[in-house]
Amino acid sequence: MQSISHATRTGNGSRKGGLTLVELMVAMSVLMIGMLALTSSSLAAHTLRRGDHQQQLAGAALHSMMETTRAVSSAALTDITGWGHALPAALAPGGSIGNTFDVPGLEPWEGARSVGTIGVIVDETLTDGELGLDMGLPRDLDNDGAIDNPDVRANARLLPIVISLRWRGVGGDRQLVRGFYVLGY
Amino acid sequence: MRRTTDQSGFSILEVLISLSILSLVMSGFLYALNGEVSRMQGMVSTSYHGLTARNLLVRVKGELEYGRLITPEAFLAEDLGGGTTNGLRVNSTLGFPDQGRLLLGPGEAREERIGYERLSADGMELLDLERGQACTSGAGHARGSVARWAGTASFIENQSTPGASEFDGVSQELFGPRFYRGDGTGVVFQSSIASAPGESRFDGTDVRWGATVDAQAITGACSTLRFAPVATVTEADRDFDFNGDGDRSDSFELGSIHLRSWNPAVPGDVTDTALCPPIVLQETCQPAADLDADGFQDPIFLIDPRTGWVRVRLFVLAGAIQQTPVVQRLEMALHVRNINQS
Repeated sequence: MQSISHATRTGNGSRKGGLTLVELMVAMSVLMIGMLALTSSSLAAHTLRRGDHQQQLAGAALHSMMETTRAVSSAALTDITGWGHALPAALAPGGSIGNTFDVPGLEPWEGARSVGTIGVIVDETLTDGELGLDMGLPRDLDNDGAIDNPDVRANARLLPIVISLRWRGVGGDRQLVRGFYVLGY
Repeated sequence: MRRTTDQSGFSILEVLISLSILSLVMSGFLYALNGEVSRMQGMVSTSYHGLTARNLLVRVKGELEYGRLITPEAFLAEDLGGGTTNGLRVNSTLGFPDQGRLLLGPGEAREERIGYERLSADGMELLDLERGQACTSGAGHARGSVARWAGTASFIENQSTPGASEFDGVSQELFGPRFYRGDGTGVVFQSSIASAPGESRFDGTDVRWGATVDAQAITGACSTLRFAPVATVTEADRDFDFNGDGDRSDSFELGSIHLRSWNPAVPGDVTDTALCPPIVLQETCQPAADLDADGFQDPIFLIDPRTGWVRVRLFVLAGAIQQTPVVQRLEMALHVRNINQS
C-alpha cells in the first residue's frame, strides 16, 4: 500500500515521521478544551440571562406593589375608619390587597407560601436594627412629639411599609427588600 | 551499510478517516458556534425591543403619574338604529377622544362596538360611525343607554360575585384576580399645564388641567394613551403559538402605543405620536384576551377608579431567536395622584 510519510532521518537511518499518539492526544485535548470553553461560556451566558430576567421581574413587581400600596393609601385617606386603620387592614391577610403576593415567573423559597410579602409597621418604637433595614427608625409616626406608641393606628400620620421578595434564583435563593413611607395626609 | 526502512507515517486511508473525523468535529464545532452567534444576535435584537418596551412604560408613567384620569361615559340622547352610520347624539362627549370606539350594551346580546371618526363642534355628537367593529354586529340601542369609550377598562364595584353581564373579564393582578369592564386598550387623561412657558400650572388654587396640542398647552384639552394596530400576524404564518393556548389558529394585531392629544374646542386640532415601534400584541376581535394562557384576561390598561391605581401590561413581540418568535410580558403599576374624573 502506498504510504505517505512525514519522514525525518534519524541517527540510525530509520524514518519515523507522522503524528505520535501523544501528539494526537494533545491536539484532541486542545480541541476538547476549546469546545468545553465554548459550551461553558454559552451556559454561563444563559444562566446570567435567566438571573437578570428574574431580577427584572422582581424589581418590576416590587415597584408595582409600592405604587399599589400608595394607591391604596390614597384611597384610605377618605375611609371612615381612619387612614391608620384602613391602610393596615387593606394590607393584612384577607384585606383588599393582602400581605402576600406571587410574581409570575418566580418561584418562592422552599417552604414559603408566596414570593412577596408586605408589612405595615405600626409600632413607632421599632428600631432599624430590629427591622434589619435602614429606614430612620424609631420615628414619631403619630406626630405627638414622642416616640413611645407601640400601636399608632388611631392617629398615624406616617407609616413605614416593607416589601420583600424572596425567590429561587438561578444560583440560589435571592431576595429583594425595600422599605418606604406612605403619608396619611 | 544499513538499509533504510520506510514504515512510519499514515496511509491515505488513515489520513482520510482522520480528516473525515476532524471535519465532522469541526463542522459540529462551527455549527454550534454559528448557532450561538445566531442566538446572541437574536438576544441582542430581543433585548433591544424589550428595552424599548421598558422605556415605553417609563414614558407612560411620566405622562400619567401626575395627571388626572378621565372615564369617558355618556348616555344616548336618542334611539340608535342598527344601521345608522352618520352620527350618534349623546348627552356629552366630554373626555371622549376625537376618534375611537364606543362600547354599547356590554354583556348583553346586543353588545356592539361602534367606531367613530370625529366629534361634533357642539360636543354633543359622535360622527361618521362604523357599526359592528371588533367582530360585533350592528344592533339597535335605546335612548338612555350607556355609551362608554371602549378603551377604558376599570374595576367594577362588585368584586365578590358579579353577574355574568356585569363584567367583561377577570384580570390576574399581583394582589389577586379582579373583575373589570371595558377593552383596556387605552386610557384618557389630562395633565397639569402652564398657561405659558415658565408660568404657573395653577389657576388660583386649582390645577390647570389640559394637554399639549401642536406644541401649545391648551386648557381643557385631553390626551389618550392607546393601542393602535398597524398589522396582523397569525400563528399559522409564524408557525408559533403566541398565546400558549395549544393551537396555531389565532390571529393578532400588532401595534404601538400612541399618545394622542386633542382640543375639544377645535375639531381637527390633534397631535398624535407613536411612543414605540409596532411591537405590542393584542388578539384580533378579542381585546384584552388571555395572552399568556394563565386563564385570565390581559387588558393593556386597567384602572381602579377608586384609588387611582393603573396597571399597564404589554405583550411584546420582541423578535425571534433562531426563527422562533419571542413574546415578552412587561408590566407596571402606578398610582395616578389625581382621582378619576368622569
